[in-house]
Amino acid sequence: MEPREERGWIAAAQGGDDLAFARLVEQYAKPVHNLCYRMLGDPAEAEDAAQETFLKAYQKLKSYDPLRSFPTWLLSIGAHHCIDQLRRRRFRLVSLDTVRRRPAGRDSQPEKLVEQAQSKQSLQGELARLGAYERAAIVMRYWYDLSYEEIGQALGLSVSAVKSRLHRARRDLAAGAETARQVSAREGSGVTTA
Amino acid sequence: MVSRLLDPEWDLIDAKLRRSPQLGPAAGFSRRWLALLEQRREERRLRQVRLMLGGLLLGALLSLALVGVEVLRALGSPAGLVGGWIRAGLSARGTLEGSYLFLRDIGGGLPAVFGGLAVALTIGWVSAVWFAALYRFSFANLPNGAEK
Repeated sequence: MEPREERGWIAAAQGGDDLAFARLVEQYAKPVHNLCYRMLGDPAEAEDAAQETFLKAYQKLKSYDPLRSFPTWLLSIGAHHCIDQLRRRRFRLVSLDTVRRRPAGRDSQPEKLVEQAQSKQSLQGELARLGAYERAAIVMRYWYDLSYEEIGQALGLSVSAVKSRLHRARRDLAAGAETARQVSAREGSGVTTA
Repeated sequence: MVSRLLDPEWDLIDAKLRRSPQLGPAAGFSRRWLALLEQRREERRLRQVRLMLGGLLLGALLSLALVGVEVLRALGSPAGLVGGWIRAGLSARGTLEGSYLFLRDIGGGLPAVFGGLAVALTIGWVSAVWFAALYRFSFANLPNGAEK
């Protein structure tokens, strides 16, 4: 979508045109859904979170600053929504097994298939070990190539806070991968000696 | 020291993150979003109607309570209350009898069809006011069993 075309759809949506905003939803469904999926780790929850993100964006559209990048603004809303979801999740008394066995939501088969295709030591599992803000920063940096300034603006953090969170996130991911490698090496040697 | 030990893992993670694809939603995402938007609007309308009706009911109850307090204060005692009802009943009976005699005297000279016409017009008027009130209070937007 051309920037001028995008501005036109935004202006029309600000005037109350639902279909114009639906065009923007169609355009940015993938990045927003990906952000939600990478942050929440569950396809059904990611679908709901992405829908809620667009609803919130639609409600706040009048306060959108046209000087700011629209996708970055959307990702900022999505990241904050997911951070709230992760906070709430901590208080829910649901076992991990229940979450894993929960049937996937409607129309979530493609994500499910992709998820199943991923290896056991998936990236998703590694991301799940990170804190909410670290996860959001990693997703924004690696999947959307946002600058430190943009990430800071989106998450309400200073540039130095973004840098330190990204550093911490990478260090934790690397440490997790190292541990997993050592465990699998130990298991491998155990099998051969048995 | 720790970072140096983790260097190879760090690079692997970096590469893994950069390789990972973006996962999009299932087809029809914007259609589902439009349906959700409509559903939320409907819920908001219902909530507003409920709030308005609740406010009206509360107002009516408050008015009734105030009127009740005033009536009880004016009557003073249970005997006075019963006496007041009897007096009101007698007064209403007198008014009804007067109206009946008045209408009988007037109606005596008119054909019966005018009476029927008057009743039909009254029913029509009351129904029109009722439906207008229903429409005004957005009952037209309440789900009526039709599939969305």
